[in-house]
Amino acid sequence: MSVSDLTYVYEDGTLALEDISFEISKGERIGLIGENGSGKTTLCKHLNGILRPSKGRVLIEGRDIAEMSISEVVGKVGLLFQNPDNQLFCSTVTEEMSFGLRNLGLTEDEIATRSQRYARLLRIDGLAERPPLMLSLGLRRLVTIASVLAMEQDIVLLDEPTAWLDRFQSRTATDAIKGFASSGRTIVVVSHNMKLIADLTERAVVLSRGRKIADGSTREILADKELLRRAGLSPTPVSELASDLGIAGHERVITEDDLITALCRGRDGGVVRP
Amino acid sequence: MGDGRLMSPREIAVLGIMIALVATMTLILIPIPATKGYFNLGEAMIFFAAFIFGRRIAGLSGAIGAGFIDAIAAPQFLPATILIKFAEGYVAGTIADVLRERANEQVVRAFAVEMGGAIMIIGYFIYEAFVLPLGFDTSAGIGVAIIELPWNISQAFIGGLIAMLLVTGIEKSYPRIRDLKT
Amino acid sequence: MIDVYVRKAGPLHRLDPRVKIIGAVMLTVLCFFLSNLSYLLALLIFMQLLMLLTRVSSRIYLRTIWLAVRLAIIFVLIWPFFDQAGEPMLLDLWVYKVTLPGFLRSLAVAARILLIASGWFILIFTTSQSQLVRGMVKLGLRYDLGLSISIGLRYLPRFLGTMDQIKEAQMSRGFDMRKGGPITKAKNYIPILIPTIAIAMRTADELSQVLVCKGYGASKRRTYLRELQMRKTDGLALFSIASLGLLLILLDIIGLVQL
Repeated sequence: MSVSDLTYVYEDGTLALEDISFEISKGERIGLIGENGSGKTTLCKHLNGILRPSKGRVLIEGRDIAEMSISEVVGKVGLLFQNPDNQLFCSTVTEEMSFGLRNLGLTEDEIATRSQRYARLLRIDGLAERPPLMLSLGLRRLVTIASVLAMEQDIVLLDEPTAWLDRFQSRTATDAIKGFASSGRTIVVVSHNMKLIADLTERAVVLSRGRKIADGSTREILADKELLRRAGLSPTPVSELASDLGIAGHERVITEDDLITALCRGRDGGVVRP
Repeated sequence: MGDGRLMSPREIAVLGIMIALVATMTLILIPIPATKGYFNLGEAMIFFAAFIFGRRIAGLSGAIGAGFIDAIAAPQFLPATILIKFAEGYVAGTIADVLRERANEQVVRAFAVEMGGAIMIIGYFIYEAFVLPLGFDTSAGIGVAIIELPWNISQAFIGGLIAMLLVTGIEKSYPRIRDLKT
Repeated sequence: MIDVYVRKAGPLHRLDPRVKIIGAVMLTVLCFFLSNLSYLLALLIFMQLLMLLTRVSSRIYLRTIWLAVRLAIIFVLIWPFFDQAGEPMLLDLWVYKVTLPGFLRSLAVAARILLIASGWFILIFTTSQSQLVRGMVKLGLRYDLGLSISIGLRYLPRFLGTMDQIKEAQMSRGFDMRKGGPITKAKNYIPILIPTIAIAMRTADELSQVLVCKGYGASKRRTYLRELQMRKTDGLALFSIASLGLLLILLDIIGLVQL
């Protein structure tokens, strides 16, 4: 997918996105980070064709999204919305998961198989006959995640996938997304949770006030404290812990593994086995 | 109403939200291809309110919700709208209440929306045909009312249809709504 | 789309909402007694002059009066099919006969329609939602009903926004709402309406709890932050409108005056 000079202005004149350009290659796992209001969600809605740019273009495999029909775009790009309540309406979880699949034109068998598979993946298979709107918020969230992943599009955009989830549900969701992405699909994860970004993605795009201010490897970006500060973001908790502890090499600590490595380094730079 | 006591916080909240919902739906316009007109889904919400919350909430939210939208878009109909929408909701709600256990639910609801729809169609017909041209000895009003008829009929019909689908849908997907019934 | 209140200051803005409400009601009632074209036109022109005082933008004004104008035009156009009395005949097309007196009568009905509309438009252009509700409550509307109305008006734009978000979410699942005739289009709203209603109901639930927490109904008397006070101007305006209107109607009923 490629985005060129994307600019988007709201009806009331507010500039939401300005001159955004970047490429997305197949199989990449990209994190989209930035403050509230920086335009992350708006950008996602451009990537799946819901919003049309005021200026600039979005191309999928060389074709302009603006010229594609809804079904064509949705066949290739999926979007998980932040708020699960904005889409749940069916009388059972299974039906809810089938809604999108039916729109894609799959056979009933295919739909049943996929629904089961992804329900199991998100550990909600026991809730198959319950009405999704009657479930707790975290479970409603898992239902929407399962519904989106089940559509198995080539590119999937996930807006705050772990929001509303408790610790265990969060782990389930993250594992599911990791497994999903490992099969060669492209994912874009929008999140405030830097640890999640560090966990799931290898490339990060930083937005600030509608502009793209950085685009590079997740590790580099999350280590760049100055950049993070400018963008109104905090480093991963482990990163902050490392700098608070004043460990040698704390600048490069992003994940728990990094921390362990740094802690195990002896004074001479050699690694001390714990 | 007429019972002297104030509404409970729950009633106030439910009525307030229903007013907002009726008004919202009245703004949803669906084009009729044959004519260049539109109809709105406000009816659907009034009947929905009648079935879930009863005649009082339905009547009031209909009159106030649709009334507000008329006030800003078509005040020439305001007196009619307030009375007609209240009656629609009240009658549909009464029918649903009275016949609740006596017959098949779908049949009862179908009858309720038919009666409510009839009130709407006849109400506006009378208003356009006789009230608007009051004082003029003419049947031109009848002509205008006939012109507006297909539009009103489709609105009543589709409103009833959608209301029934909605109620069935909500009862299956969000049964908790019953907790709010006052 | 729904916010037509003009956020400027003008003499009509300062007028007590009760006066404007009573004025709109009075005008509406009076209109049904008025059949004389000259009176109707004079009053209509007067109302449009008042409209200037509301400082409404022409764009909003035109968009708002459109439906009233449309209905008025339909009346005028249909009239010659039915009312063909009087001389001289201006146009004779078999069943469609336009006579001058007939035409003037149709204009009178058109003027009546526009006049009724004008009264309410002036009200809504110059009165904010909270003023409106406060005015109605001061005029005798039950406080709890007034609260419900305030809640309704407050959440209307919110629900419109929610519905847009829901449409986007369902579209992202491949749901195409644009296909099909009117019945299909209406049915396609169900996946939009059910989430909306569910969200609305959760809101209602929370709202009722908030009302309790804020001590609603705790005491029989309630103090208000901003009491509506009638000033001399308001009183004068109210008196003139009410007395003039009632007088005219009375005289018309007795038959002394032909409105």
